[in-house]
Amino acid sequence: MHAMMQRRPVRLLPALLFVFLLAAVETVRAQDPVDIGVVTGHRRDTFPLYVPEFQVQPGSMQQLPENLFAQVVSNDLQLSGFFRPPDNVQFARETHQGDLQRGEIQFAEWYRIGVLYLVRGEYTIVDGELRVEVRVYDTVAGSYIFGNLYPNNRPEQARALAHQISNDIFKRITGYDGVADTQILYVQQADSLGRTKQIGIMDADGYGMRTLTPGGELTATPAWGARGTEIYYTTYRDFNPDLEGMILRTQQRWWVSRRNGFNLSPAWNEALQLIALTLTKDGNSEIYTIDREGRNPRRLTNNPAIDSSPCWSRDNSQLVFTSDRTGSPQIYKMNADGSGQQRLTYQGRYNDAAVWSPAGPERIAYASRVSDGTFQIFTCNPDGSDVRQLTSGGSNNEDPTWSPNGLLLAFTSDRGGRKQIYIMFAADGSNVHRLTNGSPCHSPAWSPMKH
Amino acid sequence: MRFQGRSPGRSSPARFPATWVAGLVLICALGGCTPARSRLGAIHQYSTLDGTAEEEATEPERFDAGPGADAATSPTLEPLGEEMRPGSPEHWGREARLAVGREFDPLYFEPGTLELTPAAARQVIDYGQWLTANPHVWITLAGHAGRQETVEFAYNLGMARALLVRERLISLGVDARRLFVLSYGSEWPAVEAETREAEQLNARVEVTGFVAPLAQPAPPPESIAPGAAPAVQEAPPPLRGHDIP
Repeated sequence: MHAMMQRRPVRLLPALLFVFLLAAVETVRAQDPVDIGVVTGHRRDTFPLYVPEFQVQPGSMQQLPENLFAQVVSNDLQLSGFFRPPDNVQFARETHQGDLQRGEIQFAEWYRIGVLYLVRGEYTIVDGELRVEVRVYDTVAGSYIFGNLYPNNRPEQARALAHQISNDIFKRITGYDGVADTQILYVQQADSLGRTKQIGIMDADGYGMRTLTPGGELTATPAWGARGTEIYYTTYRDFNPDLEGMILRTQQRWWVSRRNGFNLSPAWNEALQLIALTLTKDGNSEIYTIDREGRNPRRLTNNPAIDSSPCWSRDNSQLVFTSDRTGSPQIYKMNADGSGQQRLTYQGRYNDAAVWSPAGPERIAYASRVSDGTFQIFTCNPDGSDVRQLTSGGSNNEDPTWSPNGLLLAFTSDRGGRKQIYIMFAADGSNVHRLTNGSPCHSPAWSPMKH
Repeated sequence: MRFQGRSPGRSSPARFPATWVAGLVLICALGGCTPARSRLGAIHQYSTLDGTAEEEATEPERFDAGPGADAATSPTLEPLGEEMRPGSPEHWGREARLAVGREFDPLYFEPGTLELTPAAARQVIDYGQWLTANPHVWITLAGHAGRQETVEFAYNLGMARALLVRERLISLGVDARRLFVLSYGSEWPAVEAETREAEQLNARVEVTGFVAPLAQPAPPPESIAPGAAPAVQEAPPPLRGHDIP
């Protein structure tokens, strides 16, 4: 450990120490834990990783769509913020062909073309049972790192299995939990004029977008609910902005809160079994908590100004929220009973949509209007210190939501003209990828971990 | 006296001290001395200040003051019965809107603020006087905000604008129960652009009148009633692999 650290640049030492501790605890058999600037926010390098197409083993009675595993795993690991595809994919493809012909892995050749990690896999489908073997190699050390066998799966689960494979690789190499099998909710424009909007759901890689609400209504502010198996969102279906719940598996719906005025911005707390939300039933935007059946309302804020957009802290003892009590929207935090309200943001005239990271380094992400009039995503510590701007560039970037491992942020950006959902690495805003396409989407909400 | 529990300062922004002090005086004066109002029962929309007791307090009151009694003096409050949910203009049907006999121009605000433009401030007084003289007309106030707001704050700003207009109208003597508020945030801009002119037109409260006796609220959509949530589902187990040595 000591010898390894001495090779690193001195300015990264404290951060690396932390990362190493995390990695050392969590990666039992990884040969060399990956060091990344998760904590410091310094620019990091990503690691070139190549996933050739998984081979069909002889005796398989069925084939999966071409390149399914390779594409999904490679893309998942790229979205994770730690890996990138090789600079020259053609070289990698040829090297892999050479490996297959020789029957051995030419580690020196892989290293020469700049691939640090190689993921090889093979599968068979016999009697409707999919069996996958995956092996991961470190080309620098020229060695096998680890392998996993996934027996007894159904072929139609192949995509979900590919996400699980990505998560297992990610965990072994970096020590962090992967989010490849998680999902993201969003609001999508449902007609050309934008009069109606639907709640949609997609996998964390942007695949499988589908709408959940019936359409013909304006909807807003989706959020994940109990056990990650249900969601809450605001709908105008009954001509008032009411809060509705939906069981994802059965699409069964119920009214959570139909109080006069709006019922907006729900935020579920699994430990307390409470929804924090914004209600205007008492003549002004205030934050309340209710249970998932809408009962036992408890008022947390009491202020003639707007108090809105609550989000729970990781230890459930606090909430961050937006208030314009000083004349402009700013981020505040308070205890879960509404006491101890204190302002967090002092930079910028307009800060909103604060979200508390659920894992990893404890940070609060929010949207702030910068000098050119656009919104950009910032993060700060829970006490308001160490403010970092993650996005820039003349277009609006807002609505941040944390990945459940705390390493990524999904957000809305209109950089391509219309609002779409993007993700980026939360420590420094690098590794930006667009997830959605087509009709404008906004207000992403990332699911909790699936397990 | 019905209005004594209401604090106008709560729902009006604090930046209009003069306005809401004036409103307080007006509300107390009107609330206390208008004979028609004293019959109407407690205001139950937005009337409870203590959030903990709100479920009991918002139990809808019935407005039937006895068979036939007051039918001539309070024709507007009967047809809606106890269902007092606020709603968007579409809720009440086209006929009820046309029967009003006049249209209300939107009330514009200074972009990004809770300040009515000088013209809109005069319009509110006009609307208030007209509504006092036409007690059969009910009003939906739909607040909007411009595209320069964040999505969530736009909803709150739109609602604050609608609530501000509501307070103004109440202070002008309009019965609070005839005023419904809602917010569309920045979802339905009047002009889809980010110019200064567009912002001016998007920062608004749209005022729609409807005649209550003609109102046919749309049937409630299918969804399970509040408090009858289905049981929480368990998440499926994850797919697991075994180590290969």
